[in-house]
Amino acid sequence: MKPVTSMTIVKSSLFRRPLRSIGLSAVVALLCAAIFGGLILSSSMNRGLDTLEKRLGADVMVVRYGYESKAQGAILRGEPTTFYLDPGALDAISQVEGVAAASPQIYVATLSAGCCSYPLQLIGIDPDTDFTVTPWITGQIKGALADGEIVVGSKISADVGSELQFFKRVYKVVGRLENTGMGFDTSIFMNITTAKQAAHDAARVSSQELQDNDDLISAVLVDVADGYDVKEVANNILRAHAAEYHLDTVVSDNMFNEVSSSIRNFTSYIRFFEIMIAVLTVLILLIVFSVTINSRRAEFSMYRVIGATKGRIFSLILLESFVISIIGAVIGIVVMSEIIFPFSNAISQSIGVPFLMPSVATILSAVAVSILAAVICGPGASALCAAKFTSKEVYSTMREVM
Amino acid sequence: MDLKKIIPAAVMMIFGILLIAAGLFILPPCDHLIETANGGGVPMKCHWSVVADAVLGGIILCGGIMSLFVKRDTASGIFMAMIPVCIAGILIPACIIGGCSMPTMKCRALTFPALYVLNTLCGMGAVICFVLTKKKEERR
Repeated sequence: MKPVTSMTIVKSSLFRRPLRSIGLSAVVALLCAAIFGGLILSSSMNRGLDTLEKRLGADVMVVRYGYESKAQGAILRGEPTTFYLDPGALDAISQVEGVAAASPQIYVATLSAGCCSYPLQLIGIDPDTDFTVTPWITGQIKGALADGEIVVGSKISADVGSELQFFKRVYKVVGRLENTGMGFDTSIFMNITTAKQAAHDAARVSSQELQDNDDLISAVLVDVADGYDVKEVANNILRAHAAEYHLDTVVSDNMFNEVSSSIRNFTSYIRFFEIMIAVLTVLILLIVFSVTINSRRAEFSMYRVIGATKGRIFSLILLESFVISIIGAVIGIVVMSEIIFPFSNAISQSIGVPFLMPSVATILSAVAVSILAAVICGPGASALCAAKFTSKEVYSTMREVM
Repeated sequence: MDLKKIIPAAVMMIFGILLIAAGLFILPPCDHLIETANGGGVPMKCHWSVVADAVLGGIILCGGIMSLFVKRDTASGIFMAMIPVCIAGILIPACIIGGCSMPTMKCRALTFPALYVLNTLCGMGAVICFVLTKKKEERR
């Protein structure tokens, strides 16, 4: 005969009332899933925000009037767009006080011809003056980007050395970028000469009229000199040249603050739901454990009569709730992982803010925090009921039961 | 009929129906056709991945129904056979047939993840059903 231990008693108790055990585990699983999911989502958005801060590079982006939101959409969400700016604006902007450096870029959207020719953003950079993209693509390629060469974002399926075709012209992939969680993941970078060629190809295919000169640009990225206020310089650019060149500006601080604020709002909703579910879980567990312990008074009293101490009864109740909590925590984390990780691309697209899955260490710490929350809530709720029960004398408990 | 035999069978049948419905009706991939040289159109490979998974869903559904009418030990064998079927259900969209290249495509962002999740859960369900029916057989 096997010796009777606390674990065997707990095991038989759990299997004797399977529906109650499953129900309690499900409540804890819900709590854990909410906490784990919330932590992963918020840390993914915060990581995306960090990348945005690192990758933005320029203080001000000058675009044609009316294209501010399209430029933001291209950077943040990779929404492909094509727009052009009067090329004379580049020199004019460079002359504005407080502008330390100004570099042109060209934005061209590829065609959407059904499902598998997904429109992509082609971004042309000027390797001689660029201070935004070049610093973080130089690690990915050897030397500067030559004509006809491209560097692709992490979500574009093309290996280094392979070729991609846009507007019937073939480009050679010479590098792949790391995952950024931003629109750059679905963008393709090329030098400005190649981008001008692509812009003309795009115009020809879509029957648009495009000025045939060498100074084609879409935006001017501005680095503000030290000691100058970024917003003041942006206003100076608009005051001096907005009317002449139809300019609008995207101030990176403003864009960063907008994204940061929407992430903060989203995170606060998540926290609110987590707290609500935690409170609800503790209340449900309190009620269920209270009812259960009440209905098992005779059983626990018998343990006392045959020699179990108050401490042993207390630890027995705690162990049972601990086992339920651990089972619930594992189920909750597994179920939420099954939702969050496979659907991360869909979540990232629907949220619309930079979204980058956290590192393994962060995921493991989220697992630890979720399990800890379950272990605190479950046994914590049962400890209150157990303490109330064990405070009574065995004689009075037996009399109540009889 | 034995309730303990109906529940595992029902679980498998539900997963079978979900696997058929998920790819074909609930979260279908885009219905774009690839134009052929003669001007006709053929569905893309993500479509065929979903069809293949739906067939596997049909096998799981049939397995669930069959487990109702056989002895417990035979039913446990049926549940065991479901495990490689679920693994195939994951491998078909992941690598055997595959889908569109871009992770942002509908098939890669929604349809395939749903099939991975369902096949994983179905596989876990099959393991539990197998263990339960096997255990009961040994007890008997």
